[in-house]
Amino acid sequence: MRLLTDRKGLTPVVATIVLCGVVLTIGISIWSFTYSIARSLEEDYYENVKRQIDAISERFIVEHVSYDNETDVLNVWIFNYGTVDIQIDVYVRGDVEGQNATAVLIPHGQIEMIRVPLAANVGDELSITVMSRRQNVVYATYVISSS
Amino acid sequence: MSTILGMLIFVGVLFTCVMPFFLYINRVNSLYDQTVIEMKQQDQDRTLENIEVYAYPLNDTDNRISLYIKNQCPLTVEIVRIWVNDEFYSCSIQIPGMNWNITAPINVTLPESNSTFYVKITTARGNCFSSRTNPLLYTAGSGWSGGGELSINVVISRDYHGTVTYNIKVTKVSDSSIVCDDDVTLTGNTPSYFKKVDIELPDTYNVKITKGDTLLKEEQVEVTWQSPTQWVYVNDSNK
Repeated sequence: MRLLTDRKGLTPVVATIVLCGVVLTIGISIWSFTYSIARSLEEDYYENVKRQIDAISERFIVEHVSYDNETDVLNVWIFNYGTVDIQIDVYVRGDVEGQNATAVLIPHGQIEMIRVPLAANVGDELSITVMSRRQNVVYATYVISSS
Repeated sequence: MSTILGMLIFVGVLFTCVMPFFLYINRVNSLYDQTVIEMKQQDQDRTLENIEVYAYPLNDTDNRISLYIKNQCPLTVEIVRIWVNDEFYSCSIQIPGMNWNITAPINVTLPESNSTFYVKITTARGNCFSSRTNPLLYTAGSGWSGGGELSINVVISRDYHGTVTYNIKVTKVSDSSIVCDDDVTLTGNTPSYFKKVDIELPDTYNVKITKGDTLLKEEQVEVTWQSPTQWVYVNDSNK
């Protein structure tokens, strides 16, 4: 009974317990917050680096160009020899202008023919710019031939 | 007590959140660096590719074209496409370094009038190489011609399999000097062979193709500036 009524020894114990409880609560909150922030930062960082890796992994060429006099269409064959799929737009400048900015998807290792409608004449000199959606650019030139 | 607890929690945060975070960043950076190195290597390999391509018809009036592809680089090269004008033919031909290969004949549509054929190939590393016999000309009635360099192009085709050695000898008629005296060995089912003999000056040349002691063909051809490339076709049907 004396122990229960002796309040002098009880106060530091309660204070310690309360303090530990507060430290634990705040500590676990900080731990949890830090953990989620770290995971989120990791994901963001990975996504950013992955975007850069994909951008530097892109490789494509203008493999062939031909002009169809009957349909007035410039056919541009793009070969994606890189390791990632690409989406490309084709812009034609020079004596005549045209474009195909529909973000044509070309899987890696595949060739795709891009059709660019334009009305060109024999001898017209064209500058072809192929731009990927990751901002890589490849250039080619073409002179419209008679056949 | 609470100080110790706080310190434990701080150390816990350090070891479970902060350090793994930096280790993860380090791994991702390594992945980036590795990709950069791989792409540089790929670009270097692509630059190293050096291929000589010769497109040739199997005979004077044939509608089939074959390609003699000589890999002049130390790397194995994969040919993924053959272009004839605006049409392509997919293929997968692996040619080891400093080796050569003959493609299977490609059927082309011969026009009723004259026509020009441009042939090129594409490699898996993204290089295009045009045929050194471009443009091949087909003239209705007189057949194939073409090639813009001073040369005699010898085409040997055969219709049987196995190993056989041919000798191609080109001599100048005027002074009998030897321009070319090469042995060529065909193995397996290689259906044809192409040999371009470079000529220094226009003149009349004697072309002699033998198989062992058997004379397959002997022909005199005149190389001029007007028609700098002369074609000699040999069909070996006897084993």
